[in-house]
Amino acid sequence: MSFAAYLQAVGACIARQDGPQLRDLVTIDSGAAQQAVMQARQGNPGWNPAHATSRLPEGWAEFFSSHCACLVALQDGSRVEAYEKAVAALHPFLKVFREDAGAWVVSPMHSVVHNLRSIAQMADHELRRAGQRPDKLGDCGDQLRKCFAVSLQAPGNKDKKLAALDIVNLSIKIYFRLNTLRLCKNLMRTVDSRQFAAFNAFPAAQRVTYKFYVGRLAVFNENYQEARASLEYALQHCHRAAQHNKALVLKYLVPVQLLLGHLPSPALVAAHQLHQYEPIIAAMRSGDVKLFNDTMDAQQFRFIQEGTYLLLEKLRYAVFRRLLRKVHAVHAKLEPEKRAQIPLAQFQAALATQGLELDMDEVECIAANLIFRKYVKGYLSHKAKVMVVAKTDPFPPLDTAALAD
Amino acid sequence: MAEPAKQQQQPTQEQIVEEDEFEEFAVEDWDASAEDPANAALWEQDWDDDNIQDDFSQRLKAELQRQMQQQQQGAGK
Repeated sequence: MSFAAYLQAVGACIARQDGPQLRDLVTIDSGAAQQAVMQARQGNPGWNPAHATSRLPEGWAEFFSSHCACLVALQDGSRVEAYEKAVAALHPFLKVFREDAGAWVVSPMHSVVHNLRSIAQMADHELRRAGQRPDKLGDCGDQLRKCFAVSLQAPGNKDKKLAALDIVNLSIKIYFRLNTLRLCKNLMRTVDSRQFAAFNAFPAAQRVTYKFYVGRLAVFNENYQEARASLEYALQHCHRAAQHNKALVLKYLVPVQLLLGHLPSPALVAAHQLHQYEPIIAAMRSGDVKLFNDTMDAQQFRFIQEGTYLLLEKLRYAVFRRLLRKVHAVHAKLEPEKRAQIPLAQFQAALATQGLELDMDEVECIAANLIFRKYVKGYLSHKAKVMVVAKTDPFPPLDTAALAD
Repeated sequence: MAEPAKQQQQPTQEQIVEEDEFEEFAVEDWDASAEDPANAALWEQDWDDDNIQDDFSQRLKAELQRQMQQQQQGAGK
């Protein structure tokens, strides 16, 4: 496509307010745009897009002038310069976004913000390689804040608010990359507020992405019930073909569910290739502390790489609890009159049966922790080396214990 | 690409972070028909019972019985 044809297509989109089509023409991945710019520069090394784009309507002319300059910089491999141009393009775009009466500008906004982030990442990569401080992604976060503010304000048309969730998602991705997670909190609060458009008004891709990150942040903050709700939403509504994203949701959802005492069914394990969790699930089911320890040792590197090691480590107490529950049940069979008084020696013997030789101090410590963390209702008699458990419901469901953490 | 074997060894911090990031979906919007019904599937909750029919519990019972008998014999002396 020649540059003239490109501009003509752009002008036509603007005239008929074709948001989706303009969005396709504006994304930096647009083959048409890249080709048009390349063609314009052929045999014309000093080519400046400002003149050609000046024929476009006001505001759009400035935007496309900077946008095309950005494409030139990208083609020359100058990513930092490209980022500067992308930021320069933002100002006129936001002006158009504000002033246009229609909500059709929401679609092009999508490309504008995605471009900004992609180029910021490329620019940081370039800076890193040059041994300089990579600060463009952080700057991009600031630019997105402006976009977010305008979208939320939605001057002239409430439907402009529909640009907001996409911007939120991009911002969150940036905060995760830069490890400035505390900045997510205010954003998420705004999403929940009345200022924000109804959640279901947004497209599925944006809703699922958002819920994934809410879930991830909840995991980070140890709000496991919240994490479960959000991650389950993300999993349920995820597009069936999106394998990478589905796997990512499960990566966090499975440990969270385990912590809450919900085991993935064999069908789920098979359907999503979660075989690395099988020994952990077995250990939780049977109270096999040895199996749990051995698995965590063997899979340590893998779980650390996947970022789930610390989460899974928390399951150890759930496995101890399960073992103790078995001891309690066996003990109740053998000495029904003394069912509520479990000699710690029996707990110790149970561990020894699994091949774990622990001395009484260690066993007592574990027992104390189980009580303290509310996995077991009862108290310890240190002198008698006995654990006295509640007569009813001494082992509350795991999802009540995890909350106390 | 140069040295693909070397690249596989230790993923860079950047790569780890990238893999951890939610990808852009190929489609923007879809309805329930594009979802996977298997995803709403079963998480088991009733595994946490007091059933002691399993092998380990039986072994434990035998072991604890043995210990109790030893104690009784010891106390008897």
